[in-house]
Amino acid sequence: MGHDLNPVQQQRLVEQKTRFSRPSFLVQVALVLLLLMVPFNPSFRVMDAAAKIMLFTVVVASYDLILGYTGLLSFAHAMFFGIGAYSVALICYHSGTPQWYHLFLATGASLILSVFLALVLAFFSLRTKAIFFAMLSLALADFFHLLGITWSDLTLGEDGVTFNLPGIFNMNWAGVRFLDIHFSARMMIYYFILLVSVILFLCLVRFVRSPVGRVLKSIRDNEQRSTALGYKTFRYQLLSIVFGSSLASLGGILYAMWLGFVDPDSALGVFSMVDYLLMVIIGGLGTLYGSIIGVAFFITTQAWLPDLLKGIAALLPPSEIIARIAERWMAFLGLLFIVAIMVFPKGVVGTIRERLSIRKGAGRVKRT
Amino acid sequence: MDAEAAATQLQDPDGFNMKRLVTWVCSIGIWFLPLIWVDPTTYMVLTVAGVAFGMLLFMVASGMTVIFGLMDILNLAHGALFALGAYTGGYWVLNLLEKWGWVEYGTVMQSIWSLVLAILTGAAAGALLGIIIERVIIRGVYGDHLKQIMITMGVLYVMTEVTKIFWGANPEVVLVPMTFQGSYDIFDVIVGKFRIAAIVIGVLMFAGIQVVLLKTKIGLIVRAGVENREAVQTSGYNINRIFTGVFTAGGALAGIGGTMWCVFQQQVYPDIGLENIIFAMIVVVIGGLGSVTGSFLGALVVGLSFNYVAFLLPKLALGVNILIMVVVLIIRPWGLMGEKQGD
Amino acid sequence: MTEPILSLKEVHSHMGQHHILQGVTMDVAAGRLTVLLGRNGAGKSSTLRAVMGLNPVTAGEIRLEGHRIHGLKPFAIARLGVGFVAEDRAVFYRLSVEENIRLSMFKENSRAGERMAMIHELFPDLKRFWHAKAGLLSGGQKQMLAIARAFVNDHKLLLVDEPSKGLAPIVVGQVGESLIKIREKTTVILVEQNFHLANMVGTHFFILDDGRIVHQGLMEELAERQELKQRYLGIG
Repeated sequence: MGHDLNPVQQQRLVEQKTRFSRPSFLVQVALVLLLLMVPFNPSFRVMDAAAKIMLFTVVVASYDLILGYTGLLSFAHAMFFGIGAYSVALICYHSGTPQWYHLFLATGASLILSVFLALVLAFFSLRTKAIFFAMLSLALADFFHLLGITWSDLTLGEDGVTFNLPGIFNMNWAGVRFLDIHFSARMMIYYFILLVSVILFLCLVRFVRSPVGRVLKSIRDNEQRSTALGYKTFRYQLLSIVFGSSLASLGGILYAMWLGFVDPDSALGVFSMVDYLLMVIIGGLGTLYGSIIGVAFFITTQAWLPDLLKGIAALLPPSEIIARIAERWMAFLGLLFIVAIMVFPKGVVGTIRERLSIRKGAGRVKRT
Repeated sequence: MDAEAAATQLQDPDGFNMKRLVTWVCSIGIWFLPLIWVDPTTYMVLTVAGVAFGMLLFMVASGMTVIFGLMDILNLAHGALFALGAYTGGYWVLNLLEKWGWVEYGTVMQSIWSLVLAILTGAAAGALLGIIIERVIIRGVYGDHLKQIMITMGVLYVMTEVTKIFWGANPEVVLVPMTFQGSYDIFDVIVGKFRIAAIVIGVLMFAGIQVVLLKTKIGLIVRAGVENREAVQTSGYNINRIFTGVFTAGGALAGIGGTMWCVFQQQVYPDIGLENIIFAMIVVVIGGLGSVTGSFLGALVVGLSFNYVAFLLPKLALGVNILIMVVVLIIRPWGLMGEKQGD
Repeated sequence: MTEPILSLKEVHSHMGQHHILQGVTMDVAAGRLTVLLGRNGAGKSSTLRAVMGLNPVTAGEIRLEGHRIHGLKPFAIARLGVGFVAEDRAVFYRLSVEENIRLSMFKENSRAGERMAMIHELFPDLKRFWHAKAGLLSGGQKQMLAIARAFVNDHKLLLVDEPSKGLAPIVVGQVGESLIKIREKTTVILVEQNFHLANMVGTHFFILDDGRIVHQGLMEELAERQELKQRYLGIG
């Protein structure tokens, strides 16, 4: 054998060899297969929910990268999301008959703008204390929201932008029959979202497992020690923030493609951050896979809770207030968020990991 | 000069020197800049509006800055207190009084009483909600900045939704009491009557807060607590009770701010909480955490700059405020009148 | 001795995972100036802070004149008659000297007037800068102010934590003189690294090591025990 491997390398070798036979891999494959089958389900709501789960997983997981792995609380994520969404919407809208290169143009434009803003933000995160940075990012995000409303010449203001996509994504596309199944534009967009989300999510996982990701974890756990060990902590944090924010933009692009409509409140609204925070907390901070759970929970609730509440309200005596409460189901999610932070801060995956590591540790202790 | 006097001057930051003079001249001079693009009459109108706007911001920021300085809590939920004050005081009470004809076409006395009752209701609502939030939620995350920010944001979110439940999601018109409608014409400068009221109330509030802080025992304790919580505790004061008191007072102030604000705008809508808290944050950062005088000055800075820029380049008004905040954070992070924290 | 004014029994204190006090037992009689000595990290300040309720007591008992005080909040302990002069001096920079002292006074009555006069007498420098902002005072003056703040209330017990820290030797001497004068009026427990100051003002001592008391006795005896000083204090 060549030179001896150190313990970390040995472990990674073992991980690599077994990576296709571990249970978690099988679960991932099963999940992707399930998602592939969804469009064959006649209910549009299910496909809608699945698409949203996929694209928001990218957004929330990238937020987890920034908050959970790099330890930076920023309210600007919604802004990056909106930048991606609006790029696609405006470019496709203004072009009359959108072509494929418009999509590339939109992606490029939003990425350039996002990277630039992310660099500015990253610079400030170093110069100011965490609490000031949070305030700054909140103000900045709201500023963009306001711009979205008031710069109506560019963004068409509060009414929002309805637009069409090129080629097989265009709503007017006739579709194609294959194997006795009709593939509509919607389904093509769905599969596109599936493909891109899976790729981006795997990129995130790769990033976090890479040497850069490990340094990030060490910075998060003990910044002073990392600096003392010689790591230029700022570079890693910068990389992570730029990467995470860019992914949010890409998520925004997918969102716009799916809905065919963007408006300032849904794409740039600051309160979306509470949704992202809820999803990331429920899943577990600092666990990318937790985002999948958090997003799935949130989107399914969003899809089916209103009906549930209306059903309950129907059972109770009719009253304006009860009807309104049923309408404002988002409030319950907000309450859940508050409770989650106070009582359940590690989230689902976080708690599971904690329990597993305690059990592993306890297993090694000799019982006397 | 002898050794002791020299030592005193070294330690005394209030002495005279060139650099400070230049800074002062520049900071005052910059406020006359808009005169380049704007005629003097319009300038006066904008200035009065800016000062009034500033006073309204001060009402919220004053509570927030003391809470932050004393309890080390960034309370985004303050916006919810502001919004509740607006809806209960400005909207609900004034509509109620209007049923007796007190508001839109009332007499002078009725107008004044309308406003007073509205303000008191707003203050009470803010104070009450403030206590509840402090007891139930803030206590649970004490000490963890990250959690605090997230949780208070969540509270603001929930309160915004609750507001929509009770009062609907659409903007509602808010009435202005008769005496405060319209404006005075002073040498061609149109000055809104309610703006004057806002300025007067704001200044009174500032004076009132200063009197309490500087002349009463409780004010002394709060000022000391902003510097060093532990030392106040070991001096024999129950800091938790003081926290609750300050939070309540801050809530009342925010409620008053909300009431005045929605009458000023003549409308109210669920998102005013979020909008206002962003301005309040900027004011607090510029003014310095923990300093009421700082938030007074910061509020004037934000109010004036917003109004000038809103007139010249409407879309960038908030952007300019953010820019000022950024500049302050870079060159003087402890704000205009905050304390240099050694950390 | 008669009932000790302060009594600790097997006191343990944890800060997070660190087991800082590992069974401190000591009795302090009234009227003395007792010094807690020991190396850095031995647990001296932690003991004072535990008495004051600032550090958590995870086991054991602390009694003030027989009354249980462990587990009480610091403000309650202060109200029972314990004054605290923290390591960072804990003077309020933006308040004037007068406000600093007024803040510390519980009751503004006639007795207060007497105590004020006593403070003017004991700390003439403070009288001079009565209306100046405390932040402008020199290090030694701030220390005097911190002590005066603790003293103004006729406390039964004064806890003083490393008053000599960062002060020039001649100023330390002045602090020492003030402590000697105070010693006549109230009981003092002093934590001090500076052995010279400790020797000058102290009547009794306890040596802490690793969160436990390892030695105690009269101050005048310690001065001669070179081996103790070397072993536990690192001097001599």
